[in-house]
Amino acid sequence: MSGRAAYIADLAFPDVLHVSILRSPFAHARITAIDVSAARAHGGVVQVWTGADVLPRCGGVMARMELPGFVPTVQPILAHDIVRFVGEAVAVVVATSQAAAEDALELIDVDYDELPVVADIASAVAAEVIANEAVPANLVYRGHRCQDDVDNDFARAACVAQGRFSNNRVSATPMEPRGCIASHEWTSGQLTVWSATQMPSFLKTMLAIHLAFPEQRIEVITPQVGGGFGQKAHVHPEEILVCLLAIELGRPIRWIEDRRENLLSATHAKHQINEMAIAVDADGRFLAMRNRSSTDGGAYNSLPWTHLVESHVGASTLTGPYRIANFNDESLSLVTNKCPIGAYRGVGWSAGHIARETLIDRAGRELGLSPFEIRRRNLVDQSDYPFTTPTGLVIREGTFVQTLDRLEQMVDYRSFRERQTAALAKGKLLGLGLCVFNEVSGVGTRALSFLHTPVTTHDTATVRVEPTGKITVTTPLVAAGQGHLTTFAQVAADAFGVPLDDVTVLAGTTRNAHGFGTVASRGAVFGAGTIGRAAEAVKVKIRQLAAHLLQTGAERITLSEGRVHVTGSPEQGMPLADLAGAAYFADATHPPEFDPALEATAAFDPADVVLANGGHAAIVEIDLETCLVRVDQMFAVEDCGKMINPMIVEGQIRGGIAQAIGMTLLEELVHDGEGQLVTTTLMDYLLPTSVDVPDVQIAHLETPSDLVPGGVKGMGESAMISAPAAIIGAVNDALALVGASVESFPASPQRIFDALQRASKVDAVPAL
Amino acid sequence: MKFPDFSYARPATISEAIKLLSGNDDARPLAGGQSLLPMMALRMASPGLLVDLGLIEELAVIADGDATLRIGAMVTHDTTARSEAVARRTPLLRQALHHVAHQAVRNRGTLGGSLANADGSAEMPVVAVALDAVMTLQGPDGVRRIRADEFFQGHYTTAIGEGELLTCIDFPDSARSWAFEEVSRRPGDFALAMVAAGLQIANGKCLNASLVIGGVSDRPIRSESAAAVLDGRTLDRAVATEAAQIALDGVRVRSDIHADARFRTELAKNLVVRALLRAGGAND
Repeated sequence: MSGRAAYIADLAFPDVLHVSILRSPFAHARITAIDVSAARAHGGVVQVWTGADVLPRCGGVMARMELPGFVPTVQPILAHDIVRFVGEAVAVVVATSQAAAEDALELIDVDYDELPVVADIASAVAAEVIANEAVPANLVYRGHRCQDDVDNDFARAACVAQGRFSNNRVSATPMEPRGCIASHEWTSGQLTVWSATQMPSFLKTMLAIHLAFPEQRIEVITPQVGGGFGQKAHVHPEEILVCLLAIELGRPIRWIEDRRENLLSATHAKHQINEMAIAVDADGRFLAMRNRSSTDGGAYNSLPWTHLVESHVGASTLTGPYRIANFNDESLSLVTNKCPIGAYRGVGWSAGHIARETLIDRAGRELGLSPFEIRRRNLVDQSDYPFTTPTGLVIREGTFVQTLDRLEQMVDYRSFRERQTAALAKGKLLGLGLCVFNEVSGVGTRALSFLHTPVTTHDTATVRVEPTGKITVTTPLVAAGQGHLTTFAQVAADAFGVPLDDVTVLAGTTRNAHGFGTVASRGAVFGAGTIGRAAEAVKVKIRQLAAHLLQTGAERITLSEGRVHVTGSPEQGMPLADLAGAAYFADATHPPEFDPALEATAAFDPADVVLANGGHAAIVEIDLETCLVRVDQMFAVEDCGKMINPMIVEGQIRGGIAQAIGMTLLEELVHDGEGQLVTTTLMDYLLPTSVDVPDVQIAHLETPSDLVPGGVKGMGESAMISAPAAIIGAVNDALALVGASVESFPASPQRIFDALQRASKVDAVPAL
Repeated sequence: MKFPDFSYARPATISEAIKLLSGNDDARPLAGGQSLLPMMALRMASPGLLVDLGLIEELAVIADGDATLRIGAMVTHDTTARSEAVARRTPLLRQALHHVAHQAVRNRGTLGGSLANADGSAEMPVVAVALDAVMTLQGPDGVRRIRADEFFQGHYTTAIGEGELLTCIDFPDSARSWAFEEVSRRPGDFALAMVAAGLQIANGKCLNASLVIGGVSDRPIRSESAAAVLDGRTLDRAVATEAAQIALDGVRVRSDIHADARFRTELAKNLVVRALLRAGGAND
């Protein structure tokens, strides 16, 4: 750690102007007047814009999904006429200092007429009030993945477990909030945009469209990014606004968000209600699942994910790695007067997994089966491959039963139940929860199609062997702390059989290759895929030249230890540097018709869904006197195929588990009945700290993917897909000791207290 | 976020500070800045003049006197927590400091700043009331001394008058054995509830008990009736529970997003039991 990484706020520009954005204090209101004259007159102020100034320049952020019946929305860059959520941008001040911009902001006088508010899912469904008049009945989309007849299954079930699970609205809360700097050079017509984004190429194209600006003259540069987790995988209105101001004023414009602004107006996530039931026969075998999921999606669709990123996407894998023959579901994506919902690690999967695994545990308790046994009886096994889930996911590989067995060993189940009984005698509730999952990873065109969010995506990479045999890789993928530059260099070094130090990876500008972005557990898969394919194309040339020089067949040439040689005879060959030198500088060495460009660009998009899998277990303790939940132990089993870098894989697991603990026990964006956000600082929005996160025990399984060069699979989201379900399962296992449960999250002390008030078996705890 | 415009003065003496503060409604003393500065950054406070007390040496002294332990208003939480005299004479203060925010805040935050800010969920006011601390206020009209019981008048409201400065706090020696218990969402957060319990045991009987509860109201709540329950009794869980049951009688317990009044009340009662048992050395 050198402390020298430059994040966007560290970039210094002469002549830069600072931006401060006035945000709506009301969830739904008509703007009847805005007076910006005092702000304009304030010292240091260069420009003040309202919605009326921006509207002719850009109509707003357009977000749609190409599905029949989908209702698209346009989010104005600055609100005009009506504000639709607390935190929506209303006006912008541009000034010579941040302080002057913020001072002037206080001088803007806005008159609002408050309108009725759609503050929750119930009122969105009732549709007596409309949150956004572009969306009839507040419904962006009604989805049905499966319409199987499940009534018979439920009628003949020995056990029906059901519940109504309210997942909390949370924020991805990257430590570095959003930020964007734009500079327009009018002499060359070049627009340069520095943005803390996960999707620089996509942002470039969207800027070109939204600004009606020639794309070939836009460069998006991504400096070091301090965490994204999906929140920075959107095109935000502020990014467009900053570009418009840069073009208008001809000076660099800088917008660096503060924490309050981030909590108010950067996309929120995970806000779903799942009304779920599973039918189970007397042997503990699952017969059917029914689910109705509703997303509290906020006032506008986010670009590109839209409201569909929650319940709708979640439905695709609700039956998970279990044999559930019949599935009947509905998902409602609803607009409300809140900040738009967007992508956050694990996207729509986290909430549904909590519901499913909680119900499996309930059924297990009712049927007298251990949480391991009931899952074991239902997991898809090797003998079932290929297994097609009700939603059409074909499971061809995976280590579900092995994952479960490994978790059972790690947890030491029998001794856990003994400890649980002993603790209960002392008035302490211990609980164990688990989740087994598959992860639609390395999300490309096929995966997005499977998720019913049809978007074509691919990435490219360029690989060049330099004249001295060193390797230069350019990639469109950017990192936000995941260490991708290291893993990509490993991929290239392995491909050419050279030391890691011989590889340089160039990333962070759209002048490099094109791509979709570092989102949806794509980085490793698309990095390995693009670099692997481009390297292979270059290696064809290397083998061709080497074969010519060594008077053998190209198929007999191997690259290893920095040399190009005949397979099995390292002495029969030459250093890669010599061969590269020959390609560049010694025409006489070339075979006939040889194209000496030791450089190739290749695209990659997996031919099918790249399915990773794994499982998590959690052990928690609930203090009956304080109602605090403490996570004592966490266990993770991960099968992400071939690991490029185990340390980075384990870092992803640990970080994801920390976020899972936050989401399930601490974090909650709380709105009052008027749609007012009341948790606008990190004093109220409670992130987990190091003392809230135990050490994590990790085990690896390895099922290499045949869809991706190197056999890798994505795994960045796994812990946020599955660990929340394990933690809530553990809380409910503990509460079950006294006949209580929680279905609203996070499982805060207040909710534990409320659950205990309704407990049916309080006598289970001996009087102290 | 940036601060709004303000003027700044850094006097070297108490009298200069008082001169700057008197007759200026818009002036605020600046101690460690751990509450005031965030409020300014959020533009929820915008004093026209900040009078930084950081140069006034006599405010930053701990005096290990004969009758009392005197802590200057500008002594930081970190210094207090590390003070041998504090550990010896007011162990309750030291215990409670473990719950005050995080090390970075304790490095800057001061005892006087915390008391003068009078947040209803802060630890230091509870300790001051529990230990019968006496605040020294110095103003244009001279010096006056006021008991902690009378000092706290509501959330963010104290007996400090216009132009007055809290200069030091005297903690008389306490014959009681004390325990401090707190519950917060995460370590270092403001308390959902906290309890300081002190008592003496003579011949196995409880004497002279004192109970102060914080985080439940707009100021520390001293529960004399609950303390009276313990008088002359043998301390055990049943007796402690009996005291706890009436500890918040008559108090309008507050609600917020983290705990409603009913939960907070139960939590405080449980903490009363814990604190009493620990103060009395009763192993449970």
